[in-house]
Amino acid sequence: MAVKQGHEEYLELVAIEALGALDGEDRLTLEAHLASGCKICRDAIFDSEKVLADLALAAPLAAPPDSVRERLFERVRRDSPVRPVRPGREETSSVPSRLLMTLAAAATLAAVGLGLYARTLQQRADNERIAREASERELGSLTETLEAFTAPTTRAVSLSGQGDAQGAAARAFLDPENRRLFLYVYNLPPPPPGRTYQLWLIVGGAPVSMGTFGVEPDGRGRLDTASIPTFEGEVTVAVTVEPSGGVPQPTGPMVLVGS
Amino acid sequence: MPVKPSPIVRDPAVLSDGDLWIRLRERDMASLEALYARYGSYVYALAMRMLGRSEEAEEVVQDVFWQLWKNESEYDPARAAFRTWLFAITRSRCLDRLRRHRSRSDSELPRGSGLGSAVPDPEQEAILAERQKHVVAAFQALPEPQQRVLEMGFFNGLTHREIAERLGEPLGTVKSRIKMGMDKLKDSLRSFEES
Repeated sequence: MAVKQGHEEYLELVAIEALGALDGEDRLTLEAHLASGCKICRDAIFDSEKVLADLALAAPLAAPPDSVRERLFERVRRDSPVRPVRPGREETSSVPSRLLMTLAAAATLAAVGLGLYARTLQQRADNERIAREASERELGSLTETLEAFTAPTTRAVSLSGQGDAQGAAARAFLDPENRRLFLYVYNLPPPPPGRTYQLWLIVGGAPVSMGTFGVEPDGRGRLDTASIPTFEGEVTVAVTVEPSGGVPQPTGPMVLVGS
Repeated sequence: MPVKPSPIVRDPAVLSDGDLWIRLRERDMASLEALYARYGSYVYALAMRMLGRSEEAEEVVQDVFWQLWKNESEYDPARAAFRTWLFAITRSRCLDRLRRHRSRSDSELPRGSGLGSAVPDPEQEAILAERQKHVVAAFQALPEPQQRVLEMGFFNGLTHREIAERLGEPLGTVKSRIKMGMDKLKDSLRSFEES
């Protein structure tokens, strides 16, 4: 492609890229230009993406059914050993809080020592109950994961580190029957500021995003998704470094890959 | 990841997105509930507009907010507003699904019912509602051909070549329309921010 004076033609491609609609030769052209270190175009993409995100507000407003919220927070509750806290109701509707207040009042009237002892017992009982509920949720989650790992159709894929992440490794477990994928990452350094890791499933040469993830300071990371596409035959699992929020197609360097 | 109990919160619904985000990083479920109350309808609306199927839009809502709960550290407040980031994630999830569908069937685009101007609860979402009104107005002020190409790219997830094919227009024309539409949209929304 002939390059016009200045950035005019690149900025046309930048607008299309921000829209997520750039492909083919034009995409390669822009990628090559960006790889040359053009800060103007990189900033322009970022700037345009910010404007475009608000186009989401132009969609006709519609509330999701209550069941969506219920399923989501049930899943969150299973993931968290703390009980849900509803906005604005913490101070008035908590049964343990009322009980504690009652015990405290009784203790004041009766004897300070007895009251303190009662409150200690109550606190201990609360702590034990919370810990037991957390253990039960954790056990349920582990059982679910173990069932997926041991299913006859589950495949295990080892991923090895690439480029600057040579020391990294990962294991992916694909459960096509339940469309689940579990990824466990080790020794992967945190992504640069404004970047994230994105997982791809490559079937028949076409990459499909499986979501983004971060890593802990010790280099460990985990991703669990329940929406992998149906596939047969060979599959490749890869991780790339991408802008925060992820991208529709891989653009950044590959840090982990395995088949 | 260690889980901290939720601190006493008088009313998370009145906290800013940034404050809710900080609390969410500490695994505060009340903050996730407040963000869901604030943005759940917008995320669902965008998914419905892009995918055209309620079951899939519901799955996207769950995926997006689950990601908030699990991958808090990805958002960088220095780079974009929380809303911008949230909508970008939502759109990315929808595009994944659209492209997956397209590999199976290339016959039909999911279509929504056009642009809307429904106003959410003004007390909690006044800023968003105002912004929404302006975005709709700015978009509708674009010439129809520019609206069309932006809509096909943004909501239908088509590439510029696919847009050109479907419209029967030269690729160069489509590219120019996208660029001009984007520039006008940017100018219009910036003037709103500055006013």
